[in-house]
Amino acid sequence: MEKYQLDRLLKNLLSDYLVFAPIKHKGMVFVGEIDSVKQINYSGEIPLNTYKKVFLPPTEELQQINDEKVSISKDRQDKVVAFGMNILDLQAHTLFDLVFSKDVYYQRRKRNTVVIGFSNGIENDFRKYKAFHSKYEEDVLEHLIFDIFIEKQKNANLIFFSGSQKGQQLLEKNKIKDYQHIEFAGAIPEEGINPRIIENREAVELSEKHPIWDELAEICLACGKCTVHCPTCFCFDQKDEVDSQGTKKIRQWTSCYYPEFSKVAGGHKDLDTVKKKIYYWYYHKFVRIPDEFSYYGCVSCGRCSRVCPVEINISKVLQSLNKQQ
Amino acid sequence: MENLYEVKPAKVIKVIKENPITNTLVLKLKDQEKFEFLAGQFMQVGIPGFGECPISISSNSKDSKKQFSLTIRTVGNLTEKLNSLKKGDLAYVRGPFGNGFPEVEGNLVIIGGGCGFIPLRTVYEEYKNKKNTKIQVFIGCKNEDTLVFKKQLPSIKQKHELNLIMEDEKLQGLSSGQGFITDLIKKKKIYKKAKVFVCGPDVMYKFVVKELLVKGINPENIYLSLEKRMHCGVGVCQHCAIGPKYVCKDGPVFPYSFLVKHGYFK
Repeated sequence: MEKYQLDRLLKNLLSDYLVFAPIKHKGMVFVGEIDSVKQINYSGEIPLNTYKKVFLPPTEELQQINDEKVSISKDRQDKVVAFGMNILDLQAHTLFDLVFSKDVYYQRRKRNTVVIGFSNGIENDFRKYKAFHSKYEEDVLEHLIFDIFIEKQKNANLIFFSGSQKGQQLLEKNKIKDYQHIEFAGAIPEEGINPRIIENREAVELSEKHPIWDELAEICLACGKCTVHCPTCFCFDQKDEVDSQGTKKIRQWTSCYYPEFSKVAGGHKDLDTVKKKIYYWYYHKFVRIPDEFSYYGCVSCGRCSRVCPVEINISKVLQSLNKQQ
Repeated sequence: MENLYEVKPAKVIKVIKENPITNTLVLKLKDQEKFEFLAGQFMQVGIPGFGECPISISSNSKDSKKQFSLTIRTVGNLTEKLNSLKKGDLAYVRGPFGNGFPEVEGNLVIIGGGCGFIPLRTVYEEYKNKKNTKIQVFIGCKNEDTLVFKKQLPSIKQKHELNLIMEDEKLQGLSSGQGFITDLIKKKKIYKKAKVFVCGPDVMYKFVVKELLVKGINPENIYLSLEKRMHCGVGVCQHCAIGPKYVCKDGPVFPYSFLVKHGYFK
């Protein structure tokens, strides 16, 4: 398939959907809303920000209470296309699907969202982002949640895959007949949980007394930028907002590095030191999430390291922990 | 799909003043006839504009299925607002959440610090008439103004064993001296093979558990009910994790051994 067919698909989608895609801004790739297919950046570079706001808005209204009546809030978001998600971002998206499987708001939004993955060569991507992946998995697409996936080959030829009925219908509607349908085979491969997940899990679980946590606590500012830019961070607060219409119950992104995160009545905080916060975050990524979902809590995209003001590098931290074991 | 975040209006059908800073609200869900829960579970309760907070259910789960009680101490804006509610007012609730206390076969020891006795009263109520179950109740608090369920204490004393201690004063006929709850535990002979349920402020746990272990209580029989900041109540928002578990979803009651394993008493 050729590029013009992809452009035609995207042009048609732009007339019905808000489209978020990788764009280049001042030399760096970001995920942003586009109004023309020409704005899309196909370099395969990992955008600095993530797609997660498409699936979990930074602030979201859940319910309204007016005159003693409770009503479920409407989704403020239009139909959205998340275009250009790479393998790692699709892994993060697959984790969100597991975490929010019983969340009516997430599920409602998912119905109105089209997920389109893109890669300049999956195998190559695996080599490039190998930090936490042991080997290239040929059947990687079978274990990811997406509607359409496009792989660009070295000769610029495009291979289309559909990952859902919605994806199939969109391809057919846009006269893309030559595609392969990938049946989702569950997030976890038949051969079981990725051994690298188990290795990292053990390294972090047994590391509480490792000096690295003190070293990191010395330099970490607990600013929470890593959590904002992390595609697998999803923790939130729930709070009320009052206006002339009544009370709105809100869900809002937060960060385990923020001072109030664990504060209870009377002022006690479980996470009362930077060291405890850092360990809590790593434990969440490498132990709690793998335990709960047998899945990656970190997809090794490296965004946290790119935005960290004191250059804490998650890959290097993991390497040191693994070395100690 | 059920909306886990949907709050339900609940009408206050009775307010019981427990002490100057604690009220029990007897609530009835407005649009739901039946309400079932387990001793040790909690509700998320709120007043529009003031957010919501987790509060243990204080009524007997084997009693009426049409109503339930929340016993609330004023500690901040929301609890102050909740404690100003009058008969006929509405609170907005979600739940019940979490798991209850484990089943009790033999004897039972209940240790409640301050308002920590609130969820434990439910446990007491459920086992007080059980054959072959003797119950030892330990209550520690600052003074009479912070003591909960005072009126009920004589009946506990009559039927089972009541050990009450207050830091600031004595209560004629009910309290055994003055001091901390650990002073009481040191003095008393504790049922050896009993299940021991502890609830109180976080700072109390390590001292209480230490005394229990000195007394030779099997650590496997000790369970603690924890208070943590929580938002969702269903194990998603990440505020209340301890090791690999969530206090809201997997707790709030945990075996002592689990908490030790995850560094809770360091």
